[in-house]
Amino acid sequence: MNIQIQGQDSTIETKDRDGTTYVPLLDTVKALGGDVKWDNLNKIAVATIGQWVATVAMAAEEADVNGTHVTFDGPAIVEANQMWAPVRFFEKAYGYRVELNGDTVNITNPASA
Amino acid sequence: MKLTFQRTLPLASLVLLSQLALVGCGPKDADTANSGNMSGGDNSVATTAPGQAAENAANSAGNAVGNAANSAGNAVGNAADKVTNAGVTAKIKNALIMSTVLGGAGKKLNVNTTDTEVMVMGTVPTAAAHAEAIKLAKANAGTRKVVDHLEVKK
Repeated sequence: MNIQIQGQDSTIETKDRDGTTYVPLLDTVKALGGDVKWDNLNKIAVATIGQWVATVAMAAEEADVNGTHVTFDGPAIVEANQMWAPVRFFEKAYGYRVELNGDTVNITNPASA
Repeated sequence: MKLTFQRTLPLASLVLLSQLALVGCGPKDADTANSGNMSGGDNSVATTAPGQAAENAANSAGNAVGNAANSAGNAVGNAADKVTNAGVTAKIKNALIMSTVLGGAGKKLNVNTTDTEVMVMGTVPTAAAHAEAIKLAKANAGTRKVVDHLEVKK
């Protein structure tokens, strides 16, 4: 599976888990112009893109986005010191359009499309 | 005598020629030596040519960054020992989800962590899955006691 950001090819890896496509949270957030902070005590990632701040705990299927509770279609997992989130997380948490075309997932900002 | 002269002359010529040759190369060698001194004659000063200085500075900066990174790494390592109850729950749930032995069952298990105990609850399909779940909980529970509330049910 390939990931496109705003229609541009990216080197972001994907993995399939139980039929859900996962992407590395840090790489994807950075590709979208944001950043991720890691709270190691609580095992929580705080992923910020623009004004939107999503707080996701390791192994949780939900996030807090600017005070709003959001659920997604699989738990955020940590493997090899990297958090992976379902690609739909970016749709539910930040409002990106996530579209599957063949073996390519395109993540676009509807506001800039 | 004649023989000696004949043998000595070439030798003397060689010595003379080699001396002339050295004299001839003198200025060039001297220039080279001076250049050498600029760049390497006095190691404490002359080696700090602009490029080398920049490289040394970069190396120093690199070492500083490396040391800072090591310190940060140690800090993270120490912090890892002080995970909160919520952090322990997250680590165990992540391990359960990632387990290939548990498969999809790991995702459905519940974990509750207190300061002294970790309770693992839910249903697993086999005895092997049960053992795996408890093993993973113990591996991530630290000093907490793992309380088994799992049920084996197909």
